[in-house]
Amino acid sequence: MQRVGLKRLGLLLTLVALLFGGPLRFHSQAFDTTLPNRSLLLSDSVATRTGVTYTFGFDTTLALTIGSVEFEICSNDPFPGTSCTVPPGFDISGGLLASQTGTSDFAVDVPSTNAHKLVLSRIASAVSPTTFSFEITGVTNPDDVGTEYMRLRIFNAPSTGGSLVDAAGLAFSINGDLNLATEVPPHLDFCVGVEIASADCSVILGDSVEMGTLTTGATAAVTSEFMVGTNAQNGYIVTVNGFPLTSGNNVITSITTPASSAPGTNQFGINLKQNTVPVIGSEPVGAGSGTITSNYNVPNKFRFVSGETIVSHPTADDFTKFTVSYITNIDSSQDPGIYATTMTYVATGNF
Amino acid sequence: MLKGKKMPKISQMLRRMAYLAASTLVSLGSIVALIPQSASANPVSSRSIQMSTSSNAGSSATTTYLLNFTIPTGSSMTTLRGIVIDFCSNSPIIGDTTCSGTVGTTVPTMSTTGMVSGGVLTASGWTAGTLNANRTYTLTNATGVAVTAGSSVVTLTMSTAIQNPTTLGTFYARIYTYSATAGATGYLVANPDTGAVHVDDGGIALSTANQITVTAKVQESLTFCVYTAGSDCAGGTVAGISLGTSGVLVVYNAAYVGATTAKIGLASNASGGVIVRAKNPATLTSGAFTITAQGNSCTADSTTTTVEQFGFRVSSVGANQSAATGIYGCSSGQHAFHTTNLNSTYGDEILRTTGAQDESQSAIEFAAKAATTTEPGIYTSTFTYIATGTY
Repeated sequence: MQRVGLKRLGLLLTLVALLFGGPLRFHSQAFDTTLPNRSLLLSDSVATRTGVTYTFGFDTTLALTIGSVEFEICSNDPFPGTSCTVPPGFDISGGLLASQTGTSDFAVDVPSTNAHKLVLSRIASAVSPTTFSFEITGVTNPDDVGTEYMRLRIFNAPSTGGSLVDAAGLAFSINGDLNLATEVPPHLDFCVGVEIASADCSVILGDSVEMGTLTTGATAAVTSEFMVGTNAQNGYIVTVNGFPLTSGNNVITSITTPASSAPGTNQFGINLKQNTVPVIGSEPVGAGSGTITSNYNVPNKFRFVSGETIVSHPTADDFTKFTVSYITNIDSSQDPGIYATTMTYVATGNF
Repeated sequence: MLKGKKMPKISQMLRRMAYLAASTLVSLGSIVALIPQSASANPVSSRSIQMSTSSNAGSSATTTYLLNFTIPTGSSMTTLRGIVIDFCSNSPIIGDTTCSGTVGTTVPTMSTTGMVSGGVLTASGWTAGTLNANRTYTLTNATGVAVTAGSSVVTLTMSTAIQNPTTLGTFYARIYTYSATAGATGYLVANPDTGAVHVDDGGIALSTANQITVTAKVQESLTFCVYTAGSDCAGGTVAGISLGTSGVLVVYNAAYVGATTAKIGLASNASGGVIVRAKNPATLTSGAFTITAQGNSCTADSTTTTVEQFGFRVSSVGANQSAATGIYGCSSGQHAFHTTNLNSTYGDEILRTTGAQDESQSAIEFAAKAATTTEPGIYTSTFTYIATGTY
């Protein structure tokens, strides 16, 4: 019995050997491709994006009889002729051949084209080595982010008929967008001081000025500064608010109509110009272009009416530093005392 | 009962074996009597024919046979003047008067008679030839070369253009040595001693065989990712980028407070390299308002309050990657944003590799700056990065 069994086993092994004893090959369809410089240029690599342009390119290094070219997009690998995992969402079925190089007679073979495979056909003929490119518009990218593959096959007859001439593959990548964001907040930068050093609101020197002892024969004059800038699209205004110099019930009268400094008369006024009589003040400086209200914009003419707009600009404006000149004159009847006032400047942005 | 039955069978078998042995001896004796033998011939020792390929491919007339043997101990050979190597499909037996086989099909074709000699054959004067329609290789030298029994080694590269038999399987070579050239040139299978009596001989078996085709596939690959957190494509994650201090541009005379980076990971076996392009339809935009793009080439970051800027640069370049020179490969303190190119069909090149490479990471630095008058709002900009490998 054992010998019979061994004989049968031997026969079985022999049969198996005869059936499968051919050349031992680990083989799949692979080509020593003659299609170098294969590339796939996307106009947009974002998943699910529609209306994308795909430009396929490759070179031929041999004269080939070409009747059709097949581009197949797969998710699993770039090996032509093997099973293809169709990438979800990808759709090239409506692709249009917008341009081509290498030859000029390819057209989309609609019956052979489907969602993941585009076939271009022509009347088969020999084509010398050249660089091919095919610009296909109207493609919808796959749904998933990651690496995808294109398989390229060339046939010697239209509609992928005839024989396979050459084949190759490539990889390309589908990604997401990178979004950048930032906020520019509404801003009105405004500062007031006796001096604003270096036109920088972070360096403000003092908030009180001393005009000294007033006399009938000379004008007392001092200055302060303010700086303003904003991105308010409708600009800004700056108003001045306060009282004339006051000491108890005694007041040094404000100038309500722009006038020159007149020692020996009661006058309290301001302007925002560089003056010569008296020598006091400065012209505005800075990158901005704020406008001084006309009543305060004449050299050697002064005025003070509380609540009036002294500077404005109709649109967003860069920083401008203004110098406010204060002048005071008294007549001989001015009651003695310590006169003081507080000036408040208000900037309002109109966004 | 069982033993009684077995015993007669064993005796019968023994008897049959005895008959078979006797008949075999008689048969061999008859054959030996028919084969012409050199009276003093010894089998050449350490004999071999090394084939450069065992392929039976019909078009492979490029095979080289390297013959080696040693003049045997006890040989009467003192001057070697001729060698015959006869290829047969039926047997390697010296003295077999038949040598069957079809040249090129079951025995090789000695299509050319080139030779490269070695061992004792290094002396000049050897001439290669063929007999029997290129089945038999001959080598002669009228002067000959002195040999010593038991030590002289004959090494012979018979040809560089032999065609193996196209039929798979075993074939044989019969080697004869002569002390006279006439022995080789007058060689006949029926009587190898027709021209002169051969001195030594020997048989060798050779075989053609299937070739094993091993195919491995290396697929085209492209690993490409953009991320804002992590160290590589495997672990990288992406989130939106906020520019400025806590996402706000508030300092108008500072160059790019809070510039931020994203990483690009890239690996491919594309022999022609990979080009990474950036696309962006617009600079930072908030409704109808935009922050001015920094420029079409590397432009110094401004510190004035009147200038608004938005740009980027490749702030660090991964191994085997290179940044677009003069535009996005800016040094620190410079950025660029080529509005036209970034809004073109395929975008503007920012990075490239020159060939295949392992994964490496580059960094993209984005920076924005508002002017004093930059319109308030939330500004956004979207980049798309496209990697294209050329295989």
